[in-house]
Amino acid sequence: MSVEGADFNPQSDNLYNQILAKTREEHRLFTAHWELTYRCNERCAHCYLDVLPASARAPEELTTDECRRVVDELAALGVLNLTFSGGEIFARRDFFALAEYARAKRFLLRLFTNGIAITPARAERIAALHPYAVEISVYGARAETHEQITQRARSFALTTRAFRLLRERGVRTVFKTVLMRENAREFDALKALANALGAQFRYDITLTPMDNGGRAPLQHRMAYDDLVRLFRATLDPAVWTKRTLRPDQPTCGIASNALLIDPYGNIFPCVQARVPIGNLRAQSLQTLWQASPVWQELARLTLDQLPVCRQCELNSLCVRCHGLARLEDGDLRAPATSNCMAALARRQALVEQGALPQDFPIPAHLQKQSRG
Amino acid sequence: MDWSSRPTPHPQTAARIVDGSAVIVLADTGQVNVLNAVGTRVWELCDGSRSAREIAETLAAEFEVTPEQALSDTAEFLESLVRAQAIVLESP
Repeated sequence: MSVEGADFNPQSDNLYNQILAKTREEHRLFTAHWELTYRCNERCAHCYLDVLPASARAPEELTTDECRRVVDELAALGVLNLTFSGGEIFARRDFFALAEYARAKRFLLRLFTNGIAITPARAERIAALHPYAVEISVYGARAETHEQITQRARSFALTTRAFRLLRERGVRTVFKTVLMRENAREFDALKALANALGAQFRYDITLTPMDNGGRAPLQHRMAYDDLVRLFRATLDPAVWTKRTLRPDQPTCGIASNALLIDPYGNIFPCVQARVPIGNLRAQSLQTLWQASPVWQELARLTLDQLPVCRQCELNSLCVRCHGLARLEDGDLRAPATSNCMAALARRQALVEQGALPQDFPIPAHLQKQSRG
Repeated sequence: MDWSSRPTPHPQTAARIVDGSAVIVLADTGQVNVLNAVGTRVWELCDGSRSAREIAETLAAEFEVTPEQALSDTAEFLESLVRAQAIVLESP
């Protein structure tokens, strides 16, 4: 008998990465993102969800008992990583009952919230959950900017208070922002604010149409010049100029080891790609995970299956999202317009830095945008 | 080592058994640990329902080692788990 190698050693990171890779290769469920409710106490201008007021009745949401059953099913399938998001998670009165149940089943829990409802008493209960992280959305370094997006008075003060309450209790926080027209010039200030609040800083440039097809969020997208400015400041030329994609390589991890659950028990591949898989009230999670043909169809979406993208000279500068292509451009296999614009902006930033030649090609389908 | 204590997972742990290996994440620090077969078996037995001595006895039987060796190895491993805050030793 030997426990050699079993104590807590640096090899574990490698072993864990091998396990993660295996779950992806073998289509084994390991990660679940669960939107517990679409009720919310903010009205963010760029939100992709058709949210309900926090006080609304939502009788179609999974009940507490149904949620517990889903937690059991996730555990039985071997899921380790579980994210609870919304809407706003604290709009559900049974949030702590569900979170405590999930932690008793030893899930690694992440919580996505706007933090408004985090009082000292709730911060205590969150700390007792030992979540891996609480990820809090902030949209401006100043109250005026943030509340222009959230459309809720005092939200900046309440959200920033949440960071402090959690930090005082030893909870790891992530300061998440979506860069958009209104806050792009506050990038450095946002980073500084995250640092001052003791949180990890994370940003995204993706704004998507609403899940109901509404395109209002797109008007908040960063201007092209702001994208170039951002990339000039943040891109590592050594990384991006060496990046290559194999034709037989999936361009994202969709349908490999993760799924999305919505408040009504519907299953989708991910937040962006709302391709319906089925409903947990009608079928077991195991059946939906193993029997739906959608997973295989999506996993086969390698670069060489994408007729425009496979020929695009900028595909190595592109972070392509199939779901965005479907939402914004109506076809999973089409180029996603906003991904194309980001790739074009990366190209320009790298050309200006001298990391790419001036005549680095611009693909035909983006010639017009590059002149515009 | 208090052999009558009952090892149980620390409240911060998240864990799954994947292909026979325990994957344990210490949520407060973010540290990930992957255990070998023996370590995984110890982890499975640390569910609060049995004493440290009973765990050592189970391991001695399952891995065909002497009781003395099992006690020694079990003590060493449980203490490393306690130090890492992966388990707590609950009083009987």
